[in-house]
Parts: sequence; structure tokens; C-alpha cells
Amino acid sequence: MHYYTDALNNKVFLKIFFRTFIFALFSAVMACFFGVVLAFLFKKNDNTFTKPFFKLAQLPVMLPHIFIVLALLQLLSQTGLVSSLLTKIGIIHSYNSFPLLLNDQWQIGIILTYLWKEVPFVIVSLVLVLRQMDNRYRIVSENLGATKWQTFWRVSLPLLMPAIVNAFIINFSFNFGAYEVLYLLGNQTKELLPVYIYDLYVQGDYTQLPMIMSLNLILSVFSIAFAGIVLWLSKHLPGGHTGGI
Amino acid sequence: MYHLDNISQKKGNTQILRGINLNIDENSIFAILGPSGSGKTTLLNILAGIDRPTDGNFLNEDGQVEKGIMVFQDYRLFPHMTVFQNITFGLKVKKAKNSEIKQRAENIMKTMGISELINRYPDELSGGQQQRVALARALILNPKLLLMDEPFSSLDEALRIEMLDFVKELQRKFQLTIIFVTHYKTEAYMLSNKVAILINGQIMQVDAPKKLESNPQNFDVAKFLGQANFIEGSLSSDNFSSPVYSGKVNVVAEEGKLYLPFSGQLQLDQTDYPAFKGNVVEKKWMGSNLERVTIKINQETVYCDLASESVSENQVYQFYFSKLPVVF
Repeated sequence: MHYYTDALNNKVFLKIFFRTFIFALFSAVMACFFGVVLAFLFKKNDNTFTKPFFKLAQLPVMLPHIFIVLALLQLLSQTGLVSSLLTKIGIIHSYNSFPLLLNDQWQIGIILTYLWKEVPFVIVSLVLVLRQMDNRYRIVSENLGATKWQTFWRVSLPLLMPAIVNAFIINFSFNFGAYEVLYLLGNQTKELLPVYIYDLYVQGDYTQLPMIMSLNLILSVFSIAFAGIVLWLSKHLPGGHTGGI
Repeated sequence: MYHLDNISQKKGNTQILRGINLNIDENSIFAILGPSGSGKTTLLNILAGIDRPTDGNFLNEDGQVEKGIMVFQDYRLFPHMTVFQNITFGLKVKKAKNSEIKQRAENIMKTMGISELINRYPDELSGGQQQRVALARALILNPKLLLMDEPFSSLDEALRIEMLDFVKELQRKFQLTIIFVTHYKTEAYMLSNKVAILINGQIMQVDAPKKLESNPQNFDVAKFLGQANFIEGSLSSDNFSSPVYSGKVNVVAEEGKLYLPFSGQLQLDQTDYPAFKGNVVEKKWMGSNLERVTIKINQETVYCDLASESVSENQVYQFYFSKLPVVF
């Protein structure tokens, strides 16, 4: 038990924990935001423009994270393709002038990787619900005098809320606990929790094992508890009661 | 008076409505009756401003484009809102004052008898309660024109009759013009004194229920209204010839089909129009002192509704037409 109290009194751990939470929350919120916007654009399945884009949006969901990580390293590192191209055409003077987007302290590379995969995941989840809802409630709302914005805000978005909350919880839990992308694209001075725990583990100090396991458990329990809180909160938001729709 | 002026609707290559012209009295209930796929809902959507016609207008007495408030067949109550939130939705989006919203909601819920359901969600309501909420949601906006799409089709028989009476009462109370579409003729006849028959996107006939039944203007109307025998035969001038009946007829169309509605055309009392001699082979009780009688005439079968116990099975009777029969 004292390992848990030690961990919860450890300022370094708490700082990393808080940083990881903010990072996971920000990435999941951004994925949901862009996902919702694009889902509304892609919901029409008879549109010649949106139909191929929706198909295309499903592709990143199927590609593994490591594919995106390697692609980003090739493209956006300071010696990557984009940087070389910009140097060659004279927009930047040297590789060093290219902004640090990978292994940076704001975790931009990690966020881009997660958004690349999670935005399409949100789109796919929501478009299926939107298509099921079709225009039934939009028509009622507009017939009762609502504007398009009022219909979106008061009807469509609340009806979509359970699907958004589910997608958010899945994305947040993944962002909070996943390891490999953080390890490859993260910044060592701004370590995130899964990497911190793994680093402790690979140091090979077996006396630290109970502490590592307690950190692991704290991470897991928090993920589950946070999902529970979000679900509870969502029940009290507009759209919390959908009558099975 | 509301005017439907040459309304047509085409979707892709399909012509759904063809030049609909109707005049509908204000402060009345008007029924549009037609089979599935005849364009009823499309027409109602146009009257509700949900859809735009490819041609024509829907205007009120002042020549203004009118938009009705719709009560949908499946009610479409917003599932994430309580009864109160559903009912007040239209007022909220119009940014009415909270005190006014509360007052009007209380009044309409009292009128509709749903005050005790205020905090319930749609999935906690019965079909009848959902319909009352849907009606309240529309009526709270004080519409002049209420549109109802197959309003009673989801209700069981007893509730349907109760709601029919209730809608009539509402129409009188709020002095509404109600236009409703249905494919159940009894519903249309019970609710409205004026019924338009819509078949294949065309208004075929507008009449009182009794006149529709006794004088359908063409074969399509007669066939849709059903409850009739159509006897195949040949026509020469105004003489019809068939195994059931041969003699003078009133020719409406020359398709050669003798129209004998189950009710009102055949009788046992003598008239100037003898029909046929037939053997009564079966009787079925139809309620309200009526029997559906199956008659065999030269291997042909004819059905008609007669007063209970007026004929006996396996007896031959002479039947008469109440008036000169019609051939389509």
C-alpha cells in the first residue's frame, strides 16, 4: 500500500501524470471535434464528392500506428522530405530553420499521429449513426421553425452524443495508456506516463518492481474511473437519454 | 380557403405528383385518401414546406405561400427530450419568453390530457400518449393549418376511434384547418366530410364519403375503394352482357367491367332494375345487423351486404339493383 501512497506523493510522478492526462484529453477532444465536423460533411452517402472521401477516411483506421510514425519521421523531421523540399525551393535557409514537429516538447508529432488515426475512427463511428438517423428529426425540427444551426445544436448533436462519448472514451483510454508512439515521437524532457513507467522497468532495478506495478495499476484504475465519470456526466448532458436511438 | 394550384413533383425520372388542383375550406378537416405510393406523403411534405414542388403553388386566401405544421405518422418525438421539452421545442427555437412557454405548455398539456407525463421520455409513453404529445407539440404553436400523415395507422382499433373523436374536438376548439392523408377509407370517412382520392399522383375525385362510395368517377377509384364486385363482360352501346347480368347499364368508361359495390347496390326488394337470380351459398356476420352474403350465379360468385337474416343459405333469390348499374 505504501507504494501507492509514495507514488501519489511523488511530485515527479504527479507532474508526468497530469501532463499525460492533459495530452490524452487534448488529443481525444481534438479528434472528436474534427471527427464530428467531418462526419456531418460525409454523412450523405449519395453525394459523388463525399462518398469517395468517406471511403478514403476509413483507410487510416486500418493502417498501423508504426506506419504513420515512420511516414511522419520521413516527412516532418528536420531532415525529412518536407524540410528538404522547402530548403531546395528556398522557403527556408537550412534544415535547422524547419520547426521541430517531432520529438518536440509540445508533443505535436504524437498528436498528429493520433489525430491521423482517431479522426477517421470518429468519422466512421458517427457517420453510421448519422445515416441511421437520416433526416427524420431534422425535418421535424425545421418544420417546427428551427434554423439549421438550432437543429444541429438542439437535435442532431445531442442525438449523436452517446456515439461521440463512446469514441472519446476509446480515444482517451488509448492516448492515456499507449506506449509505442510516445516512445518514438515523444520528447525526453517532457516524458509521458507510459514511457516513464517503461523506462523505470527497463532500468532493471527489481526493488522498483512493486512501485512500477502500483504505477501501472494507478494508470489503469484512473483510465477506467475517468471513462466511468465521462459516461455518468454524459447521461446528464442533452442527449443522455436517447430512448435507444 | 387554401389553394393547391397545379402542384407537380418529379424526383429523378419519376413523376410523383401530376398537376394537383384542390381548394380546401378553412376551419375544416380535409382528407386525402390513396393507396401506398400514390404520392400522399410527398404532397403533405410540400404543404408543410419540407419539400418544394417542381411546379405549382400552395397558397392561402391572401395569395401567400402557406406552411403547415406536420404531425408525422411515426410521431418523431425527439427521443432525447422529455415531454415538456418536446412540446416547447417550437416556442424555444422562436425564442419565446420562459413565462409564456411555461403558461402555454401547461394549457396545451391540460387540453391534451398529458399533464402527468411532463417529465417522461418518448420511449416511456404508449402509442396514444405519443400521438397526443406530437399533437401538443404542433398545436402549441397555434398553427392555422395542421397536417397529419397517416395519423392513426399505428394505433389499435379502440384507440383509433378515440383519437378520431379527439382530433375532431381539437379542430373545433382551435378552429383549425386539418389536412390529413391516409390509406384507410374508414378513417377518412369518419374524420372528414370531404375526401380527395389520390391515385398515381393525380386527384381522381373529390367528394363526400357517401358519394364516393355510390358514384366513383372511374375504375381506379372504384377499385381502390374496394368492397365491390367487378364483373367482366362485353359492352355494346349501353347494353352489357355477362354470365351474371345482361341488360342496360350506365356506361362511365368502356373497360367492360360491371361495378357492383357490396353495399347499397343489390337488394331483395323489387325495383325497376332486375339483376339476377342467385343461390345464397354462405353468410358471414359483419356486425351492426349486417351479413356478407356469397351468391352463386352461373358459376360466378358475387358478394353483397344484406340485413341479417334476410336470406337463408342454399336458397335461390331474385336480386334487384337499387339503380341502373355502372360499367367502367
